[in-house]
Amino acid sequence: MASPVLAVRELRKTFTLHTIDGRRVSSLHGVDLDVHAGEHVALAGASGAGKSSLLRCVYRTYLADSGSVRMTTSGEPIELTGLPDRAMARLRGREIGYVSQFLAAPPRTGPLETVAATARRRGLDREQARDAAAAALHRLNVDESLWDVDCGVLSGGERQRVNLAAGTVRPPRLLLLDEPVSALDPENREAALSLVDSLVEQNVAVLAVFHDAEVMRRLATRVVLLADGTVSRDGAPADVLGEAA
Amino acid sequence: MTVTTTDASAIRALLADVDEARGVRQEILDEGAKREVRRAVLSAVCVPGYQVPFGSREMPVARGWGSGGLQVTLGVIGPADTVKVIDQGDDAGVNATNLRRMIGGTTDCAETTDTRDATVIQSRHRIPEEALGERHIMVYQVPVPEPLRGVEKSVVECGRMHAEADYSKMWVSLYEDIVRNGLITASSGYPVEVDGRYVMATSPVPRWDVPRLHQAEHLNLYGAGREKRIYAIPPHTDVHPLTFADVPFEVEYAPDSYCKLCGSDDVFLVEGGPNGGYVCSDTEWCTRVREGDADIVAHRKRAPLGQLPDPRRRLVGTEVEEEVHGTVERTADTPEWALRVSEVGKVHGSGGAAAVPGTGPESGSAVSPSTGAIVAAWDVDFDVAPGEALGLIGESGSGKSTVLSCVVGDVPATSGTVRLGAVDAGRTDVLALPDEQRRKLRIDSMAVVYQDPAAGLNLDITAGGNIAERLTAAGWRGYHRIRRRAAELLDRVEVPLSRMDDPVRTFSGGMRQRVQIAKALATEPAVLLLDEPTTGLDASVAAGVIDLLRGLLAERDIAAVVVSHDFAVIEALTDRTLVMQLGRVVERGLTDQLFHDPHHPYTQRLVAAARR
Amino acid sequence: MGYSGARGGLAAILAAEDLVRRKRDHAPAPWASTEQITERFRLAVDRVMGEAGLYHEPTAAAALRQAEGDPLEAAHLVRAQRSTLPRLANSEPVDPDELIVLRRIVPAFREPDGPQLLGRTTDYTGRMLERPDGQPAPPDASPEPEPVERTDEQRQPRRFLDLLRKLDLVVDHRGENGDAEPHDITRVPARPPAARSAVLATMARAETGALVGLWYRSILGPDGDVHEVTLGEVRHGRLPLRIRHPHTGNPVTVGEFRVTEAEAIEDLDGAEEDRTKFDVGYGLCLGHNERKVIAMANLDIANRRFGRQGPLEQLLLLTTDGLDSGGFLEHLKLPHYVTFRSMVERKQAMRAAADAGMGPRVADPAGRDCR
Repeated sequence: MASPVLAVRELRKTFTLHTIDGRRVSSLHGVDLDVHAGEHVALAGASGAGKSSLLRCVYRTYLADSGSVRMTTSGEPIELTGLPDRAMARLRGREIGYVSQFLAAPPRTGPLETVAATARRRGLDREQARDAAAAALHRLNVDESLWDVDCGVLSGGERQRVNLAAGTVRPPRLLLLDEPVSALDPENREAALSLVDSLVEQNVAVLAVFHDAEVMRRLATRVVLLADGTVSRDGAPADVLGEAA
Repeated sequence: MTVTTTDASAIRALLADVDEARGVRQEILDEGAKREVRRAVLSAVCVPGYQVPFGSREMPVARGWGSGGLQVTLGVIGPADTVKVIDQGDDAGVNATNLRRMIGGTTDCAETTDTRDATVIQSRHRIPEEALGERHIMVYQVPVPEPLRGVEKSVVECGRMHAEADYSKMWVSLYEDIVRNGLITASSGYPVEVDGRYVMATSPVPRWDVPRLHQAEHLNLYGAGREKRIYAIPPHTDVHPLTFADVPFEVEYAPDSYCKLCGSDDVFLVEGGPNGGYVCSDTEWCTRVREGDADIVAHRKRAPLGQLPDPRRRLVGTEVEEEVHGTVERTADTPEWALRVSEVGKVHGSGGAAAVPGTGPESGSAVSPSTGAIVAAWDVDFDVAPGEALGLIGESGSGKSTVLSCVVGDVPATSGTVRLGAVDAGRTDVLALPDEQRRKLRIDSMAVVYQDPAAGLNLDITAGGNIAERLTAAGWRGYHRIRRRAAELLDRVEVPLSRMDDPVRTFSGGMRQRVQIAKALATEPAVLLLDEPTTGLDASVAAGVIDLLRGLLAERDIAAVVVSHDFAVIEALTDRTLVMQLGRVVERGLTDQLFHDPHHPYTQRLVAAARR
Repeated sequence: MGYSGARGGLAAILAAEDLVRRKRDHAPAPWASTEQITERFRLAVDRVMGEAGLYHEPTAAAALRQAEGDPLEAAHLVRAQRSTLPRLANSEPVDPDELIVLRRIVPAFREPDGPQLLGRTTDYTGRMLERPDGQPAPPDASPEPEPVERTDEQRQPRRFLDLLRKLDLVVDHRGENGDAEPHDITRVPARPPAARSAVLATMARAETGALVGLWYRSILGPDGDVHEVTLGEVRHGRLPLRIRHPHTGNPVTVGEFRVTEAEAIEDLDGAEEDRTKFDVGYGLCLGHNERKVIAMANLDIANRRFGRQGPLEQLLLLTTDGLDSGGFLEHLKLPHYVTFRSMVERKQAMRAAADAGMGPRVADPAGRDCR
């Protein structure tokens, strides 16, 4: 079997809050996890179990204390925890999509430009990027009249769709999703979920956090249940979620 | 051994010898001084257009009354020579008369008013209309030898500009002249480029005479007595009046003018008195034309009639192709970074590296306990790749701007190295380069945008002129091409083109900053350094400038360093960031990581403040 | 005519010269002898020697007489005379500590080494016109005071600076900047950036009024380069002149000359300066001219500290010579109708361009449409 796109081992993360007398807040206590190409791994668990922290440690928005995060692109696996900042920034731009519940668009920029900028980072030229961005926005039903409007004035649902479009345009090798559809109405939510599913079919490795167990059952190849910062179960959705339900 | 007796008999004997050698004739310059003058003249001939310093002696005429020209004439003249002296083209002017009397009375040369018979012609403000040949030496009296004086008041700076052939200020002044007045208004003493190297002041003669200097048969010597300079244009030397490739040089002209004495219309004419009309400035020529003793056909061929002013030609110049520098060709040994800063430090005060122990974040002070020096920055390391933006954040006094100043060369670094990928494939430490080469790097390799637009712009010249400064420094010589490039850049930074010809001083702060950015990008440098680019601007204006910068960085393969105390600016523009405190880098990382997971207590405080 | 336009220029010049000679040399008044001028106008003679850079009282006196008392013109005459003379020898360096003082004041210390010697000065004399009727002073009946025997210590007192040096209160700049061989401004023009010796030599020869004016500008003007200066010492006295014997090569004293010397003490307060110490500026010129050397000493220290940050060095080197500034000013009286015609033509060309609709601020700045 091919090596996983993402292999997390013994990952630990604790925050030291110097502004509050150095208080330490523990988050992850040794997480092990694999995601293969074409696999959709859903992270489940109670609030505070470490789901978002894990995604952020993979994306390097958080620096893990110890453990390893390996990503295989083409060739040898790359250790992300020790990767120089510049290489990590490049890897993010080309190979990793990260979609959170919050919009990461630069201020005073319209949806088309925001999505096209991501596409350009993933190797498209100016014109191709615009076309790809337009296609992504269409697919997520973002009204064309909004494409050049400052993202800051969009509704929560619209922003989330722009965010998804940016994360999935010119599909990356690894897609990290953190509650990407929480603010969507049923119709748009359906469009978003089918988009994610189609990416998995295109061999993208997806590691996702969905609030809704139904979504996980429908979309996930595997579900990993986190509790108190460690993996408590890892298996087929029915196995893991069925037991939890 | 010191002999303390007063015994000057040997000296007296020596003096007597000298008196005898000098003979009976009154001298006004001793032989030793003449030799010095000749040495300076030889140097001047060897380096055409270069102002050679010489130990100018006091002459019996006031400095300003031809003391320099007189020394040159006395230095080069001999018994076989025939001298002609003119002032304003006139042999009979009081100054000319006086000098002729002095030269004739103290040398054995003959005197004449006929240019054809003369071998040495000392002149103030004119070249004779008569043809000059290899037998002629023109000696000009020069009041102000420095052609750059009008654009630069510091003589040290003028010296540097000549040494480095850095004449962009001169070009900008021509550019501004055309923009403001529709033509180049420089009148007499028009600046010329000699032998493709030095810019030189033409003494001052009228523009009418300037074409006579190009590939001349005769030797031109310029003597500036008060300023103690001699310079020369040897025969067969290229002399080009400074003007843009597509804006013609123009000589003096008045429609339908002719000499009311001799009828000539192809000579330099001066006002002819209270009843109007014009007369020849060259009285010898005028007389000979009237007497039928002048070759007026050959003269007409010499006359600069092809360079009479023509308003239509000024603004429809021919196209000149110019190169935009910038994009460096990358080869196998080009490093992946465009700028690499290693172990850079700056200590203000005494002690150098010895002042460093006991300073920094752990000690809570930048002041050296041992020497009292201020350690503004120490041991700062980073590199930036093309297409990447790096942030430097910290409170004021943290040393971030000091680091930038050291990289730019505004402040000499105490230690460390700075390398540019485009310079010698990154092998050369640019801090060790001579100032001249560092300044050249600022033209097309590394640009800065300062917090204060006045630091990066000349507020008294137009927006277009500020951009023209960078372009002319990079060698651009086409007026219309420069205009078009400036317009493109101003358009890109959203400065209305209707303001292109307004002095930057009349611009708002945000608009000035946009002009500064346009100038910085004019030659597409590989490295862009931004020092608090939006600090001091109103929030809405600052937001506009940040958006502009973000767009500009995204569309270019430029390596940028952004210095700011404001996390919002850093977050909007950069991928990676260094956090500085009390002169040291205390933390570094991906910008979003530093914002969401700061480790150092200082960074956590900065982030907490930014979130507020 | 005669000014420039026609023949006859020479006759006009000769007539003007003749008028000067008649009025000056043949005025119905007693001839002013060289001795009268050197003895009665000592300070004017000294000033001319200083500004001319030539120490010879009879020459300076003759120049003053010919210049009808205009010291700047007199300095010009002396320097032009100097230009006709060969250089026979270079004098040997002289140590100012050899100065035999005629006058010496140490304002900064109550009891310095050696005397506070007032000497010949009117500093403390009321400025009242003594003989407005123009009558000569009556013969002096009082006997000439007995010359006081002076010890070596009194003739050549230790300078105040030595004491400050002993107290380690002075920054030592000696030997800095590779300025060991003094810059000869009569052979190599001094322009910024220049060695200290070049600036000192320029000031020593500067026009007194120009230097005092520049000094006062540094106190009250926009630059403020002179701060808390204390005058350490001012001296007037005699120094020996030595040259190498042309045959033996040994130093020989061939005469002596009077100089005025001053040292000014400046408080150091700059960020890069040693604030625990003082710095010293130096002034020296030919003849007796205290105003000039005090200004010079102050400006020396100001130039060391701020000369290159602002305009001071350029001002000192290029604007204080009386012959330079006076000569350039005088040259404005020469005809300039060729250059003026050239200027008029450009004004007319600007108007013609405007009339033809091709003047400044064409509507289309780049020669084509830009959005």
